Amino acid sequence: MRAWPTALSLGLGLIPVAMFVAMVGMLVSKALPALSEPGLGELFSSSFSSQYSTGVAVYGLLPAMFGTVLITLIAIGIALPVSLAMAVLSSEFPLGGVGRAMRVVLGALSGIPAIVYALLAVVFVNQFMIPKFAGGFTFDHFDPTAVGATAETWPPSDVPWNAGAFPWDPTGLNNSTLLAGVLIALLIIPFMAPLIDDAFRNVPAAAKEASLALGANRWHTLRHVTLPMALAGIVPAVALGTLKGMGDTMIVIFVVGWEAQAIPDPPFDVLERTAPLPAAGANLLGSFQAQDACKEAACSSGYFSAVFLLILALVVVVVAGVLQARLRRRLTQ
Amino acid sequence: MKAAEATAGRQAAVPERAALTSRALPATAGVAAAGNIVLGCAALLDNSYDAFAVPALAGLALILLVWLAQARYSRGVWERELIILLAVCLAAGALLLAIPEYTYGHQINGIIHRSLFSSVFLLGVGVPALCFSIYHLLGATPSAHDVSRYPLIIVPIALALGAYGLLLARLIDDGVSGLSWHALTTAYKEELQPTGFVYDVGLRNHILGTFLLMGLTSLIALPAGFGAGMYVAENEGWLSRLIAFCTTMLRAISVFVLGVAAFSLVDFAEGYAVGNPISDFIRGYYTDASGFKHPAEGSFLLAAVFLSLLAIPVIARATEEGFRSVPVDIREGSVALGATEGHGFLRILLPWAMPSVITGLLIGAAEVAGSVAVILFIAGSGQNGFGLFNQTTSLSYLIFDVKYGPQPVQDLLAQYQFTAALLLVFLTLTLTIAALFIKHRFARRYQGAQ
Repeated sequence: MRAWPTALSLGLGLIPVAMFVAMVGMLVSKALPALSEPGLGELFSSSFSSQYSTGVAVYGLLPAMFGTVLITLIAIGIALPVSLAMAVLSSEFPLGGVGRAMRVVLGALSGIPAIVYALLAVVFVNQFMIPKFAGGFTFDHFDPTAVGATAETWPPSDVPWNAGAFPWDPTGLNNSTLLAGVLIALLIIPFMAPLIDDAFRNVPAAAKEASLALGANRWHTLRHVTLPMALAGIVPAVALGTLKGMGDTMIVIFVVGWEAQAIPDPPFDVLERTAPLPAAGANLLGSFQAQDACKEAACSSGYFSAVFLLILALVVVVVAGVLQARLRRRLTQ
Repeated sequence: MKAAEATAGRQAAVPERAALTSRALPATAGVAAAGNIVLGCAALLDNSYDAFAVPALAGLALILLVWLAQARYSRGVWERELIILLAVCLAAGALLLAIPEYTYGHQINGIIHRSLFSSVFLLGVGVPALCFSIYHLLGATPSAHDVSRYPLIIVPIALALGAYGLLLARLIDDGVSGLSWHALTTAYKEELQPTGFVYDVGLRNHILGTFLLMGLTSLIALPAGFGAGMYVAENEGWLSRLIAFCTTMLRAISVFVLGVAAFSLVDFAEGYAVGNPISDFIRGYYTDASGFKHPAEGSFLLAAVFLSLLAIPVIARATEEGFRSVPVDIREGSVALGATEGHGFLRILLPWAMPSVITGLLIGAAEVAGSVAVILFIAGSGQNGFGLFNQTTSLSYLIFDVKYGPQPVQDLLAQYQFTAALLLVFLTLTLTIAALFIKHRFARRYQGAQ
């Protein structure tokens, strides 16, 4: 017979379990028809066209999956070095009260919701995307001779102009994959940096002090002692950041749009528009058209994209867990 | 013996001869490198600074060349790092001279301005050069090596904070202009009069809706999250692992998945007529002027249930940390003094873990207030009132609604888009800073006990 606090906590603690299981069950049951109606072969094909725009429905989600990968890579590529630098400044290389002030600033920044970054994307469009990636021209005020081309040689024939990214549109937020990646990086930095900071702080002081006592300076201690030992904490931090970047919906809907019709060519052209899975799924479920437009196959494909994201999250959690356990074991041996 | 003396003499003589130049050259190089970094940042902000990039790189290269020659003369060695820096510097300058002002074609979907390259090159050359100069300025000791790494750490942080600053400046600038008493106290409403549609434009229901969502969500998520966190912290075994796995997965899944799940419930409730509790609870309803009941697309209650899935993992994690931080001495002390498990829970564990739980609750509430993706498919403009069974709405949804919502909302509420974002950020910042404050305050209070 257990005492009442344990029983109470067990009873309450099973609520999220029940909710999670019910939710997964519901989603899977809704997504199962997708296996027969568009079929797995079509779902993993690399072309997408929706009923609304072309009249012919081909629900290939591979371009959207590629978009997810691309955006997550950009976001982690920017956020990881910055977060590492922030964590190092906060715990290993103190600079007066700056490290502590930065923890407060990061705590405050972590409260800013994704939708606010999505709304403010227009700042980056005008400040960064147009000057750097559109030569400072806007679409209405563009003269080919200014960039050294003539009317005959413009537009260049080998550029996929129809891919739909207009870095020079100052009003519309529909922009390139790169901008979404940068904004998602800003979204996940305040989440990753404190976690990495904790990972640095959790490294036993004895190890650091032994290294310092043997004559290594702080930088070498960081590189060769603290960083390898903190890796067991950095891996889950990066995994959480990856999941947040992968699952973010609002920024990508505002910045990239929701249709990924084909894998960009060349594949890593980040100036093209490749909407990731959440945006494509939201489109399939009819959030941008009348809800009645959500047809059978489109709807189940939308549910399928949600289930796919769920599986992806599971994979990331499991891989990060295994990696973390392995790193821990290596350290304790 | 004589040779050794001569060597010693030369070694002693070198610092004296180098003393004059040993500080001046690294200092000059450091100033030049810092100038390059500043210019790189400026070129990132404004295309016109691109013109100064090549002269700046040439100046730095000249100083590095003089330094290299001086090092060769006074110490008799070719400084390998200096040669690499010089080569990179010259290569960057040459590349910048070769690149035309506008690069296009090459299968790139844009017209890339040279200032992008020049800012990357200036930062890429300036940071290592500054590190190297500081290292030698401080006498090339191991501790100087430490100090010399600060530019490497600070420059990326400064760039990121600059980006946040740009965004927040615009938010405050545009948000404050829409702030008025009228905007805060009027609810958005569209009414069909004989003369046509009449609109009332304001944020009242969006603001109240945000608070209602936060309150309802806290009511659902606090017990569930607390129970889950406490059980995981206090017990072992498969049940504990199951609960821990589920809360981790809830934290890991995309907010989009939660939104889709909420949508699927609404889809399910569409099979029921208005007035049926299933339809009313899930879809919500509103009553029009003639007293006729219409279904909505998703009630506040439904939104709160799914938003609570967002807050539960946050609260569970904070609770778990709180319970784990109770020192073993105190637990054992209470048991040794004869406290029952219930007494120990109420008098020892709960007070100790409470600050953590409240911290989690506040951060969870902030997350709920800002989340749109969860209510993406079910929310509305809040025009039909505000209550448990009305259609859900929130400040964050308004921002989405203005971009992709129905036409009158897009036109009329656009003026309040930035105001809503500002209010939202103000709310979430208040909550997170309060959470930080409580955490800090209580961490100090219990320090004496540890």
